Amino acid sequence: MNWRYNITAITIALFLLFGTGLCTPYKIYIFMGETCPVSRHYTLTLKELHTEYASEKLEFIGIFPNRLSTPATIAAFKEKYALPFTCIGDSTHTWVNRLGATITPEVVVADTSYTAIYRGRIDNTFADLGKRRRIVTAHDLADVLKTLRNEKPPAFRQTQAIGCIITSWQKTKE
Amino acid sequence: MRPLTLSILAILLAFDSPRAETPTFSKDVSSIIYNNCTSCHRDGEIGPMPLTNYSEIAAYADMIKHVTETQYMPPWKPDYNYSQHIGARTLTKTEINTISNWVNAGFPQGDIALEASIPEFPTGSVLGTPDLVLTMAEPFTIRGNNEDQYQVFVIPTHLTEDREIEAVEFRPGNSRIVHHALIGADITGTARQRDLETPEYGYESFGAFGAPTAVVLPGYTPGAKPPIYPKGVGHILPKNSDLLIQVHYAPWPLAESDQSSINIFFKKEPIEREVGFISFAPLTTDGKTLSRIFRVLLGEERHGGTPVEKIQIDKLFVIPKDQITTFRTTLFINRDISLLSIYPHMHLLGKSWEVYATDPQGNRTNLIRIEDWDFNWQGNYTFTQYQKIAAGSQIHAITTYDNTTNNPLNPNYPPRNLTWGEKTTDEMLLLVMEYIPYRPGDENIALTVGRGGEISIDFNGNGQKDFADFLLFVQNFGLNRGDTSYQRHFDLNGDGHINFTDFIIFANQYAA
Repeated sequence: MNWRYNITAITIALFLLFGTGLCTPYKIYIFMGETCPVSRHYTLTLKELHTEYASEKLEFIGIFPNRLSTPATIAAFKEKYALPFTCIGDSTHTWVNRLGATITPEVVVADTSYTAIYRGRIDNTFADLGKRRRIVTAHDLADVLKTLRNEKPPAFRQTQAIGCIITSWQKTKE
Repeated sequence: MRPLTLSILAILLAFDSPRAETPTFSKDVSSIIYNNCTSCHRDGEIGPMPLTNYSEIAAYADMIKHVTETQYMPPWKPDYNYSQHIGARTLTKTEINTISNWVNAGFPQGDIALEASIPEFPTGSVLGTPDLVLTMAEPFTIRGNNEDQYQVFVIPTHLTEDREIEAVEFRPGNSRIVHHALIGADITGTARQRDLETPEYGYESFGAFGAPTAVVLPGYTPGAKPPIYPKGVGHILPKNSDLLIQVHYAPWPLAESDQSSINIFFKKEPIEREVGFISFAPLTTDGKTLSRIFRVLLGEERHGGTPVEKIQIDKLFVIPKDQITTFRTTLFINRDISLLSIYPHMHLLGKSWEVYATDPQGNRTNLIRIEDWDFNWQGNYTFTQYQKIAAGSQIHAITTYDNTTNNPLNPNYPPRNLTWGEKTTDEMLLLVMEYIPYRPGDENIALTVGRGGEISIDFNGNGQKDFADFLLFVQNFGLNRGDTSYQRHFDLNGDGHINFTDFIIFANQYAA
């Protein structure tokens, strides 16, 4: 056998064993609201994070759980703020219930079986509603993505997202 | 009169009692939202999510419950129970409970026939046809990088003579991004020069105008109505002055533009008492930080010089890092004056304000208390009635600053020692009050938001104040309030509530 094929085979084997550090794909689910100002605020940060970390194994998905969300309102938001990832509606709250989101914007990083390794804020820009930190000191989502890209998945962690509460429709009496 | 007053009060309280049944949107919640939230929460205005019908409001039901319970919304920073100012955007406890109970019950819509109507929001001026409209010379485009932006625009008035001003109304060009605006006038040309020195339209200035102002006019916050000076009282806009507007553009992720304008209403009758300013800062007149006793920052030439004898501060205006620091300032007033408004100002370390006056007999008048200072919701607060400050009184200001890492707005990480300055990384302790020389009877004059500044309790317009007017007042007491022109008649002090304070004014007028 040609030595070149051997090297290729060994490279592939090594790549499979250690290469990416991440064999399982993860998805970054971002719950957002078209009319939520905190969601709007984070569109810039999300674009930067997408440029830095998105790959075949780290896919970003925007999820819009507001009951009044339609394909048209979601498409308009995606276009206006030039979001570089897929955006889907969730007015029935299938994804909200599956991933345990309560706020927009809130991110859930989960594997293909929806087991979350992170749920919460993107960073600590907002200490509370209307309290915007002048110096951001915790980049929670970036830290999770950095770890995923370089090492094994971190243990589950949760932070409190600040933003617009997702209205629960289960108690509705109309 | 007293037994009658008590029995009237009993009736009014009975009208104000909470309801027991489950609230519905149509019957109970729609009027609260439409009259208190919708003026900003509709398309093209600064309130982000439109709240103009049941679907939109129900879609944000849990959020609305949260922000009203925590009193984050409607935005109104002064403590309403401490002192009253016109245009207060507050909900009563009953209204907040109604919203909470409605959301907890699954936000039912109820009978749509009972739904309140949305007030007619004026598309032009809320005051009528202005005498002079001054517009920004060109559109200004914000950076769109999610940072606050504070830009001063210089608009020449081209006035050939001094003009007496009844009201000033700021009209945002792009209500989505204009958060608030301060308005002043410069006669020195300083601001004009600063504009020339920058390549863009206007110049950036965080603290205030970055130029001396001959007059400071009432500013703009979303949802607020411009105050109108009462009969015989007003500002003078000097000839050849430049109007300065400092516009705060909210953090925004896109580079949008704005071209705002200002409507000016001249006095129809001559001014007898020009509005003057009491202004202080912990500085000497040559701008040095000083401890203990210092002079008034702005020279006051109206009414024969400033009514402030002297000012004291308990320590040097330096805010040490990693500490919460409180300053106590006292102004000594040397003649009888009537205060119209109060404008407290500090920057990002600011935590709280309390300002009150004590007269020589020890009687106390509360002027303003803000327990959770927010730079982005600063404003000029007009009292619902003239506040008499007698000669020999002291005005006390207690201000607290949080220069620790617990303050998320701290512009320095780690914290640094700060003192006076214009930049976001500097601090200020500035209080500006509008005043006029006192005249007997001032304390009974309400500073309403309605045109003309005079109160009428002739609600049915039959030319007499009679029992029928009283019945109309009682019917509207506490039950409803807001922006509808009909209900505004009953909100006698214009603070947004039809409540006991209005009743006192009603009773005074009735007895007069």
